[in-house]
Amino acid sequence: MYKVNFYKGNYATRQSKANMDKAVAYVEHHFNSSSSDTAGYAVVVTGSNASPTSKNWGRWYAKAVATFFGTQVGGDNGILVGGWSGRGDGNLKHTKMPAILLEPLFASNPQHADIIRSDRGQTDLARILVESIQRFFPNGGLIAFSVGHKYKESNPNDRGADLAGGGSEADYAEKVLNKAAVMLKAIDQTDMARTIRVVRGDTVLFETEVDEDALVVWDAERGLLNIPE
Amino acid sequence: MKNYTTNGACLVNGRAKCLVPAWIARTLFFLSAVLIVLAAIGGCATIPSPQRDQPISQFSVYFNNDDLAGNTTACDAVFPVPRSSMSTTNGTAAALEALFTGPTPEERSQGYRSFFSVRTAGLLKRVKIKDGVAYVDLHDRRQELTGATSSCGSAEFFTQIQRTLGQFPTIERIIFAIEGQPRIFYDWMELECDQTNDNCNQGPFMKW
Repeated sequence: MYKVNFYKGNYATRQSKANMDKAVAYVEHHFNSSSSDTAGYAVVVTGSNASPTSKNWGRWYAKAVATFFGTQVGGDNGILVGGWSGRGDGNLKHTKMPAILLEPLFASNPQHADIIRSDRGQTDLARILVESIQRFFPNGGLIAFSVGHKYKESNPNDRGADLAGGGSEADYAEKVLNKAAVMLKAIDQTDMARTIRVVRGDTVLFETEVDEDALVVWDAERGLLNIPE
Repeated sequence: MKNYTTNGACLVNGRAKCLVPAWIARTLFFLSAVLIVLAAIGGCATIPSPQRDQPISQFSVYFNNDDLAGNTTACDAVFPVPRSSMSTTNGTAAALEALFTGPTPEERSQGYRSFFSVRTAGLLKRVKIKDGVAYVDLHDRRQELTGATSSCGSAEFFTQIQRTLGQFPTIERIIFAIEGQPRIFYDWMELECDQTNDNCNQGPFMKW
């Protein structure tokens, strides 16, 4: 149901190729960074010309990441439209499909860096991304992936921010996208309905389909997930 | 009253009469003058002069500070710390050099922070101001500033520079380059070459 292509080259070239291939969604993966080792929030950059779908998708993803990792969302409820002073805008604004640039965690934050380096953390990030794609693009199609910083002809050695404790932003962003690509390709037609899952670690304890528009409410007091009929 | 005139003559109450012969007085006067001149020349390097140690220009450099900002998500919230310079010629260069040296250890203990530190002290290659535009040419230290290209990191990087240069009223815009090439800087920062950066025109950095 889903196909995935990784696009390389300069950012304008990647977007142009994704447009030609008629991708339904475009994802560029980065990690954030700061001179503070405690900064830690999830944010998504959208193009200055972003559609409502891009903005909603970005907000959904940022909130999901922040909830999962116990952080907060940055920007305007999780998104930076047009990036900070235009930075990142050119990475997205030439696309003709919904497009987001992810900065789920901070490479400069030692706790975040440990998550980014771990196979488990990469899997968790990939799963959240895949779920966001399933939610906003339930009909499947070609998903365009772009690894931030890496594979630019203009600056082939760019790897983005150094991770606290070692490693580079771009190499780990690529690992997350590789995992997400495997997950997306494994989804078949029957998986396309909206599903609710209870997981412990990587183990799915419970899974059920729910209506696309169902308002699912978690009652923390009662420990009850209410799914309407 | 006994005095020596500028040519070494000895005067007593205005009359040319002295216990020391005039030729000795002239020699002593000449030697004294030579010693004074030599002492003055040597003093440039070794003798502190209160007047010379006075800073000629005073300005602020701007760094992030989470304590003052109140949270860690305000990547563009920067705060001033005072600096001074002995430079008489280029205040903007002095300010950028001070900024690129980063907060002092004492300032860091007070919560000021920056990607800039003693490791990046030599980041500035040159700066000039022409027609309201500050052309800031940097040495290629990208490997020491990898975090400055993320959304938060770039907000820190640009805001610190913009606020520091904003003290100089003649500056309306800032155009950056690395080793004289704007395209390298803006590509590193993942910004496109467009009207906001004069389409990465290299001309002003070639005609310095």
